[in-house]
Amino acid sequence: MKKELNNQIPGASEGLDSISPKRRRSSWILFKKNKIALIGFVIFLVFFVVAVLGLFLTAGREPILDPSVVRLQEKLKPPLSSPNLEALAHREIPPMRIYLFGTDDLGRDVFARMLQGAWVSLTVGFVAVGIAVLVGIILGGLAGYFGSYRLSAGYILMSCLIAGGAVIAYWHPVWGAIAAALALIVLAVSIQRKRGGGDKAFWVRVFEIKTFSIDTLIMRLVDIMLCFPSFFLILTVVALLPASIYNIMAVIGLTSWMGTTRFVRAEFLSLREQDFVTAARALGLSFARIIFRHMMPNALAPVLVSTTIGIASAILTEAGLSFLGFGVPPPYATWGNILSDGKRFIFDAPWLTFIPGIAILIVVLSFNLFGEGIKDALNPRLKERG
Amino acid sequence: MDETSALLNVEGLTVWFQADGERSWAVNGASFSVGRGETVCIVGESGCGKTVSALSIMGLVKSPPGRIAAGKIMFEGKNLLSLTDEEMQQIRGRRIAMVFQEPLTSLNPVFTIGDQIAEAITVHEKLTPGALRKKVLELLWAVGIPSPDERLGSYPHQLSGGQRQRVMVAMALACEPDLIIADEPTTALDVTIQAQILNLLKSIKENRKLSLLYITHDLGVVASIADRIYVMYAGCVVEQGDVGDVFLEPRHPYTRGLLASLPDRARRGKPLVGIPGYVPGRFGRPSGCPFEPRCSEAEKECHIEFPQFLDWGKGHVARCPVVYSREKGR
Repeated sequence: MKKELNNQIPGASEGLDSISPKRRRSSWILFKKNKIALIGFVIFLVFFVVAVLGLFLTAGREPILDPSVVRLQEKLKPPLSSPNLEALAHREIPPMRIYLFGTDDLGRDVFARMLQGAWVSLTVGFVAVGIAVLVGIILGGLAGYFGSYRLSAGYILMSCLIAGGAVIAYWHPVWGAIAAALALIVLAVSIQRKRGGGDKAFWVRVFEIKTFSIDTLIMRLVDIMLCFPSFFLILTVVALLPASIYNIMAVIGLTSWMGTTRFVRAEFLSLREQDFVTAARALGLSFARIIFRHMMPNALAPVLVSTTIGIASAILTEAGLSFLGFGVPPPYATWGNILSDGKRFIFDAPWLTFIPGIAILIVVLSFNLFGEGIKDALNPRLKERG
Repeated sequence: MDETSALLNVEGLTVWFQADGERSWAVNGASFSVGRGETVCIVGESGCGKTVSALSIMGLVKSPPGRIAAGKIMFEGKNLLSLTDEEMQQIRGRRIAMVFQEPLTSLNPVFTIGDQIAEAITVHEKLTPGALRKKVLELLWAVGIPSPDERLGSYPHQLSGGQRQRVMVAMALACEPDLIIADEPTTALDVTIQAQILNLLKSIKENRKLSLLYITHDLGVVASIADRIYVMYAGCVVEQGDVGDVFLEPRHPYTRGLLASLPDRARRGKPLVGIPGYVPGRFGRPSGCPFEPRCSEAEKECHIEFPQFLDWGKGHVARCPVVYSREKGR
């Protein structure tokens, strides 16, 4: 029977991976029809390539385009002007023999600085939004799937002891250890509870008291986070933390996950009741597999849209922070601090503000257009019409 | 069917749902069993607890609001209700599989059917990609999907309803379970496709020597596939027996009502017969016969005492003392 089957069915020995992604293709066709979104996508790609190129051209010990070479004799040269080769030392001569975007007040090549800044913007955007989406998906998924599950008092006590203990242990190891021991006792009592049977001791009953649900816990946390004006929250945190690009990424990421959480939760609440989730459980799949493999892909379309728009706003936030002097520390160039440095010379050297400003505008706009385009392309109702 | 050789034996299953502090009893002490290689049908109106019984066997009753309050579900001598979640996961899919009512929504819209069937296999078995693909193709072949190698890459929305239900059957077969629970698998399909799926289930059951627990409200379907049937009303079994006995000589007024309400060529032109009233929405636990308010044969005692099973011979039993006392003598 099996042999027969193999003869009848061509390609029976290939892996399942060879299945063609028809759905993705149809989304792409729909996306291509939207010209503005396509332009956004192209600019997004160009920005990506420029940022990666910029990393290679400006990083390292002896970069091809050095953004930090100071040429005081060549300061505030307008865009497209040629360098005065006689006044420059050999290593100061820009390799392209032209200041494409002019020079700033220290005679640094703005083009090289813009390239360096592009990489910073790209990484800040992607890493920050990556963190936000990861947190958002996990919390939103938990809130949506296990929403009605009520936490017992013992469980909350244990979590508080562990979290509190970890913080205290940083200063007082002894108290931390005591907290850990208490957490273990609570755990032991809880396990005893699970075995069940017989009379229950007083503490067992106390620990069994049902408190609020996971959904309440997570969604009220979201509400609390949304109460803060996020830019000022970021400013405060950045002012307290040492200035570094990684702190900026983490802070932007950890203050912008709430939207994703709400999206994912809302999607999960409706997906949870769908028959295919019950069917997946009937196949014997584990919770983690159902959540992450079966439900998540169904919930991802709105997340993807909010991600592209989130990247744009993260880039904007970083530029804003840099402009205010809280961002990535010098000598690193970012679009925000080029803009900030240039504002003093806005009448003498307008290119110092216009070039980074317009770059930010174009990139943020292209991300937003791209995001809108994806949203339309992934909308199944539009697909049926098209 | 004696209890020792039964594959699945459900005893006194009681399930309630709690909403706004009130309990409504969905299943009220239902007992039934499925033997090896047997096809058993559970028949009843909407809301009589058929689906909840099936979900209880699979351990899929949502809790809260649902709760299995009493009863035992013995599968090969193990009580499924006492198993942990992990142990239950090993049973689901591998030993007991389920085919759902709505093939349109029971498949995940974002994966190809090939992926989904493959997943049903890999949950319980580790196979190389080549062997996996071969097995998926075999399953699609077995459930009668034409050119399975092309259909492998199809998404659920590209298939017809009947084909989707075939895919569901293929997923249920993936790990060669001992028991398949089919919860009204043909309700959402049109009649010709219904017949095809029924024949498919029948032939698979014969070829693979598995048991089938078939849940339906369609008596035509019952007649064509069942070995034994259980008639459920308001959460309990009111009549059970071999399909021939129950169809030819129904011994409970409810079963009689169901059979009489079938459209019949002989009664052409006359209005259809129905059973007056509705299934009670929230079954408290009535002290008397649950069917008494709708029953044409009801007498005074019916209101007082919950009727016990009365034996009509050959395993045919029914919970109606009125019919018993009137007709058994003859």
